[in-house]
This record gives sequence, structure tokens and C-alpha cells, in this order.
Amino acid sequence: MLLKFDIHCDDHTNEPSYRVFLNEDLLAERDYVIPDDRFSHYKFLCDVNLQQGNNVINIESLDGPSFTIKKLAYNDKTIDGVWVNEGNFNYEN
Amino acid sequence: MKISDLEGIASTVKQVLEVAPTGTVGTNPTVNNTINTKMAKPQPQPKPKPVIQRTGAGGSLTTVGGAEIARSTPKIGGMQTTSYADGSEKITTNTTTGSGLNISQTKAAAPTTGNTPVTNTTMQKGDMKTSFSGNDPRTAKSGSMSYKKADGKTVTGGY
Repeated sequence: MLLKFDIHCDDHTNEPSYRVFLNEDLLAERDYVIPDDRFSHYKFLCDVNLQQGNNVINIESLDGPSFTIKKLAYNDKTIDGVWVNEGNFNYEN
Repeated sequence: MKISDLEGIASTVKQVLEVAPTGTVGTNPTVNNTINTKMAKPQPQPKPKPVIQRTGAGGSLTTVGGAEIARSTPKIGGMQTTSYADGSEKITTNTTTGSGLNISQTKAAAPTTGNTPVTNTTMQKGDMKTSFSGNDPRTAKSGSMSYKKADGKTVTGGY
């Protein structure tokens, strides 16, 4: 299952670290962010097994700034919404 | 029994009655503590700390909860590359010019697009330091500048 979403952060200078969790499973940890006028790494993409029902994406900030999740989609099915630090969606096979 | 004895007993009873409410109140904090403990907010779980191990070549390996998250090369000539578990890559460079200006830049390569934009630039000379997003302060989304005055205080501004 191809899961993808965009991660936005206003703090570009201090390069805050963050971790990406799906249903409490750690997917990635990064210690940098990219300014959104040079968009690339805010686009998160990962092949995962989604669980039936509710799935939770959590962006854990390690240095304080908040992160915004946008353009959430799995298998090109778009889920409308904007979430701060934590987003959830329903998956039915 | 003399009347003076009765007065003494009455005085003692009066003291006990005055003390008793205090004693009763004294037991209340226990009840209050119990209530406070039950109503206390659950403490957030401590974040798992990354474990950084040195590799044989002088680089490092970062794991979180046993999962490999990042792997770095040794820093040679001010340059270091870090590969992340999700396929992204970070390149940091550190150069000092002949005039003593130190320039640090971070680039990050995306596995999906292949783009390698400059994420952050820091320039420092002596007690003056400027930092901004990207590689051009004119187009930076955020930036900061700081300098130290003669009295030792540091002045910082940013946007």
C-alpha cells in the first residue's frame, strides 16, 4: 500500500528534527527540513500495510516546532484534510 | 473537688475542642492528595532516544528502538553524508574562506524526485553569525542574525 503525504514546517532555519509514525510504528526520523519553495522532502512516501479501520499518522517533533500534514493519500486515493502533528484516516479494503 | 479544679477541666476541654478541628483538617490533605493523584494528567511516554554507534570506518550508525534510522560517513574535509532509512540523503559541508568566514550548508536529496536543494546556510565570523533557509538570503523563508556586543550580551533577530 503506497502511503504518501506532505509534511510542512515553518521553522526552516533551525532544521528541527522529527519522527514519522504510522499506528505507533516508527517509519522515519529526519534531522532537517527543506524550505517549501524548494519542495521535495516534505513529500513523504512509503510502502506500508495499512490496518482495517482507523489509521493514525503522527509527526513527532523532537525540537518543539509543529508539523502540518497535507495531501494525504494511499494508492492515489486522496483524503481531504489538513492535520497538525497527527492525522488519521479510515481504510477499508 | 474544688471549683478551681472544675475550671481547670473546663479549660482543658475547651483546648481540646479548639485543637480537634485542626486535627480533623489535618487528615484532609490525605484525602486531597488521593484525589489529586487520581486526577493527575498521565505523563507522556519518554521519547525513545536514538543510539549512535561508531562504525569501523569512522562513520556512525543511528538506531531508534533497534531500528536503523540513519548512517553517516566520517567527516572528511568538512564534508559529511548521511543516508536515512527512507532513502533520503543529507550532505553537510563546512568551508572556511581565506578571510576567516566559516560557511556551513546542508543539502538534502529526495529519493522520489532526485532534487538536491540547499536546506540551510550558516555564515559565521567571530562573534557575528547569520543563518537562513536555502542558499540565498533574498529568497529565504526564514532567517536569523546574531552578534555579540562589547558588554558580552548577544543580540538576535530573525524572521
